[in-house]
Amino acid sequence: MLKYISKRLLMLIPVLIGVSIITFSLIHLIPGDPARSMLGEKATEAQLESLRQELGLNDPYIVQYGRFVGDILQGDLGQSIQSKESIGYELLHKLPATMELTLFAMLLAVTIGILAGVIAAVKQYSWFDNISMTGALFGVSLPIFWLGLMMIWFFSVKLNILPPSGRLTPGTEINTITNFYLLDSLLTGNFRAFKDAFLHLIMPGIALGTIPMAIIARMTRSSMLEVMKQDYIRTADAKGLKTRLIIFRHALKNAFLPVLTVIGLQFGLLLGGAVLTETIFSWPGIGRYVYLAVLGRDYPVVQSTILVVATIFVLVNLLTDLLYKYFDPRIRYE
Amino acid sequence: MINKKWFGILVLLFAMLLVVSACTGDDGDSSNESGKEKDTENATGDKTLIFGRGADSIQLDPSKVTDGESIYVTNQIYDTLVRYEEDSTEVKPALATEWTPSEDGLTWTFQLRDDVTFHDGSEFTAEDVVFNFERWATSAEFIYYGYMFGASEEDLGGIIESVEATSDYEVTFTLSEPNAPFLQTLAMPPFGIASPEAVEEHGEDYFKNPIGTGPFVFSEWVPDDSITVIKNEEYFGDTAKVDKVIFRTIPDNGARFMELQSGSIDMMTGLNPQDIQTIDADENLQIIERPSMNVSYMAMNTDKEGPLAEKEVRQAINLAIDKEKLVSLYEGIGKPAKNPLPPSLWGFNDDIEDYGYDIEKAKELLAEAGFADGFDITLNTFSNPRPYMPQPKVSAQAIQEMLKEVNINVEIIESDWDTHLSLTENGEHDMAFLGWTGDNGDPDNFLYVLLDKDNAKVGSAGNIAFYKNDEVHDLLKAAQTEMDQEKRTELYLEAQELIHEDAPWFPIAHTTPPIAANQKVSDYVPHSTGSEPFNMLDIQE
Amino acid sequence: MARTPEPLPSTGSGETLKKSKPIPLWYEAGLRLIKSKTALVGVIIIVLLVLTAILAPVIATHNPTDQDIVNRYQAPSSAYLLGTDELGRDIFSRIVYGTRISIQIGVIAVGISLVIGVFLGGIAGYYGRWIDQLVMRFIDIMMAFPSILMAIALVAVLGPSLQNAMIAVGIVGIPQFARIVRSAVLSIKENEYIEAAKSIGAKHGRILIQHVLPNCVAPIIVQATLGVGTAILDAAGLSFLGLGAQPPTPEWGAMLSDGRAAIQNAPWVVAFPGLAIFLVVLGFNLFGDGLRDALDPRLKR
Repeated sequence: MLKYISKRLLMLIPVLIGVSIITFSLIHLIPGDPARSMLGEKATEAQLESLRQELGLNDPYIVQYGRFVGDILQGDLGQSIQSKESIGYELLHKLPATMELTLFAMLLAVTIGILAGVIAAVKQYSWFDNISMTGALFGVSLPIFWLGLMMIWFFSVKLNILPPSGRLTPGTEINTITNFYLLDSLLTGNFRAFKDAFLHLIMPGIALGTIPMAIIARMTRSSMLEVMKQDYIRTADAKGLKTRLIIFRHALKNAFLPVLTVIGLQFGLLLGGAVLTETIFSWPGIGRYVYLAVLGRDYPVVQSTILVVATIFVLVNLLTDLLYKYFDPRIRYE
Repeated sequence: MINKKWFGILVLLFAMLLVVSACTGDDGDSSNESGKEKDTENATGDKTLIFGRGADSIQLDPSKVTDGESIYVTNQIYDTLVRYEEDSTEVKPALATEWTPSEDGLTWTFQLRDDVTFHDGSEFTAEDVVFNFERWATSAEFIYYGYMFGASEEDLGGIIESVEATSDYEVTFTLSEPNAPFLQTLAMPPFGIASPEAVEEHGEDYFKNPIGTGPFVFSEWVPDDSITVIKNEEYFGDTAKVDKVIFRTIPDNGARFMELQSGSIDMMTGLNPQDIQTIDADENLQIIERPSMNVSYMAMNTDKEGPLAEKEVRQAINLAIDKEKLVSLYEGIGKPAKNPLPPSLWGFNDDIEDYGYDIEKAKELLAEAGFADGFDITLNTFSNPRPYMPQPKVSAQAIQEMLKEVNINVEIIESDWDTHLSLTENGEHDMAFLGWTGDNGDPDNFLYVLLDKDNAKVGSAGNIAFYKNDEVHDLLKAAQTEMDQEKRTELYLEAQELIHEDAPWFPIAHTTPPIAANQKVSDYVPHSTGSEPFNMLDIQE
Repeated sequence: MARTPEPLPSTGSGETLKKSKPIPLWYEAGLRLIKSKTALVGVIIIVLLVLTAILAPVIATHNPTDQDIVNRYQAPSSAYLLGTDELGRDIFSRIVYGTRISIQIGVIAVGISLVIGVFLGGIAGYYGRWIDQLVMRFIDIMMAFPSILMAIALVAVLGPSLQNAMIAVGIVGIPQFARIVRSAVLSIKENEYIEAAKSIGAKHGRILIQHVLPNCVAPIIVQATLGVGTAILDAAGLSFLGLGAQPPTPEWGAMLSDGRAAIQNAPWVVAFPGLAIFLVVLGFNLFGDGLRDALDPRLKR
């Protein structure tokens, strides 16, 4: 196992190098002038030029790439052109917001998805199966930006029961420790903030979680059906064990493996889906951060954020693979 | 098991119901009335004003930025030597109590208040004013300084030759040439006086730790989320009526408006024009209009070879666009413009008659210029609404459609704001939208910046029509050094005649940018320059 | 919106196509497809979509780009079936013409992913060794980016336009095809008839094109059908962010985005284009699912 892990970690290196090259070169082909964004509408050419010198925007790309990688290896993600803040510092504040949202969406997706999938498989062709699978099909076909807007229109405009944007109602006091608001408010016993933060999570969480929920439900169902057809389940059945026990001891355990892979993939993809969700709900996370940076030509921010997200994604996938290996003794790796 | 199953079913049903209800809901009922009056959840019990806006400040050092969102906040924290009157661009005493220009207009002496302290407790003296001006004059980063005082990379000081502390509470400015708008300029919020001690202490990070003398003291800044300032109890002027102001960033106009409706913010800028009717119908909300001192326009690049180089074509375009209809897209917050100057400014030429909407005449003019069959052309626009142009993309599409009538085929190029600026300043456009909000209430700030040949330099053009008329240039230059306002008025009236005839622009509108507020906000008087201190503003509980 | 269209055999031991005789498989598959009600619904939606696109000028009640500023934000009525937008354009007619754009997006984007993906997956699976290593590492790198982020970055580079959005969405879809084709090729190439072709001295390229690829057609078709749905969804997302279709193109995502400002007073401007996207994507998903079930004998009912 250890050997396998180290082998997988080694294999990450070329991928991460590739990722850094792609990130770097993509961003350097973007039209627009970062010096201009920094100095604003009334800057003169001379002022712009001196700034370009300062930022090294005139150096050859290879030199800039070397500096880019060198800085990152030293843990320096650069400085935002727009806010002049260290990007590492900004990400530290924004990543928890995205993580909180992503985890919440994933929690919704996994619990509801697996539950619905299992029931649908056990009661194949029942009305529940039909309805939930139709719902799941609807779910994978929904444009989430539209779902988000429609929820805002219905729950915020029409009913006024859920807040339309942000993470907290302004003026709500909260002591931040981890920047995960739900956790922070619980730790400090601030239940008013907890409720407020929770209400703010509902709509973005549903918007972001719908697609993975649908995919997980379908995956769970089909992999459960697959497993239930296999001999050992039939044997167990014949031996007269209680059906429920069979399902949960054996079937679910085996059916979980492919579902696990999907969860891993979806988790990473949620980080990308967060761009749309966070834009719609003004969620102060990295999705909106990177989108605004693209619009504002904030080169360093786009570079570093995409790099960080891709790295997280790669690591999550690695973790999924390792879990897969851990749960499935049938697979042998040299 | 049973419970879990039902839970799952319920959630799924809920999800589907949501889709269905979202599609079938009708607009008739107004079930949300009851929910609106949430009490202000105010942890401290103080009077707090929560102000919603579309973008965060960039820096809280006004000498480093030009964006409105930064200035909005720094105007609370800093004072200038003189300030604008609440409802005009006339100046009134602030840090300075009196001022006297010399006969030749080259020397200005200011008497300063002797009872002012900075927020960090240090005392305000003439030396501090000198420190600030010297700091500004040694860095090329202060864009407004360069621009108002003619400073450049080579000549960082510009027309200000020296600033001296002639006593503890007296400063004397020596200029190299007379400058008619000088006093007005000193009232611009970017020239706010910072605490020298704080500037030296924080260095690079000063913009995060601003210290001024203003009615509010900086308290906290959570980037992209909020900036909090609290009342300055020691303020030398009118102490603020509210205890705390929170500037909150909510990028989406619609979302921000919903926060206002739900009562979680008290005031907001960047209202979608469509939402104005909603406010009119809502007894909890009000609209406060910022007086108009701006103009939006479509510049036609006269430098480019092709149709736009012809005066007749530019006039034809002016005739072919139905301005009334176009401005109706502003939903009542804009009035059609005929001049580059806003009518609220002195020097506005009201005798000029706008081109009017006349397709036939437009076609004649086009034929005269040899373009009877029309031509293809691009129109550059920007994605973010500006105070003078709430819906740039929609306006561009309307013009695209209208010009089809005279066979002009418009391709729209939409960029974000920064890219749009660099494109247009480089003269890469055919036609382009832009606008201007006056900085100091002087016509020079419009006409010279936007239409003089001095500012038609590729790469940093303020004059993005690249309009070059020597006669206009002579008039504007003469008006700059002339100190008598009546004579200056004459010069500006004449310049506007010439500009109208040459038609480098299609002037669109002057807006009164609406600020939406809760009814409990009172005594708020927005200023035409785009920002104002909030010390007079109050909240009725 | 960024998502993986359904279970990939991630262990790479593709066993979907054990049978080598194509004719009965297709025959059976056809039968199963006809019997599937969901697939039928999908087919109906797709046929309606195509018909609408062809007959757009007949069906539309207005010119999709004609403005009537005075009548902006009109609620749905008999004059304007689905209401009017911010410039007084008829939303129904715009949605009708928008079907053409959607089909175009789906076909072109999937075309890009398919051609490049099949090529990469084909040579990787068939030649193996270093080519396989090289291609798969490249695919790994591409897959390290969440797809919507990758697409946004690409469009930011290429410049926002419908064409570039299609290219970006197409590029983002490449890895899916490459992986599916690779694993299908891997499972087929050891078959006897391939060995036979090799032994009589047929050239690699010829074997690949004439014998191997035709036997990978089933999973490619399934992926392509599902891919069209995903492509439409992703491109609409890009347009929604202002990075795709430009005015006055009646693209649904762009319409939805433009209507956002009026969501309180004119929700129909947002509601209907979104519904159109949803229906079309649903159609392709239903059909794709039906196809997969039909082509995959393991799920025989």
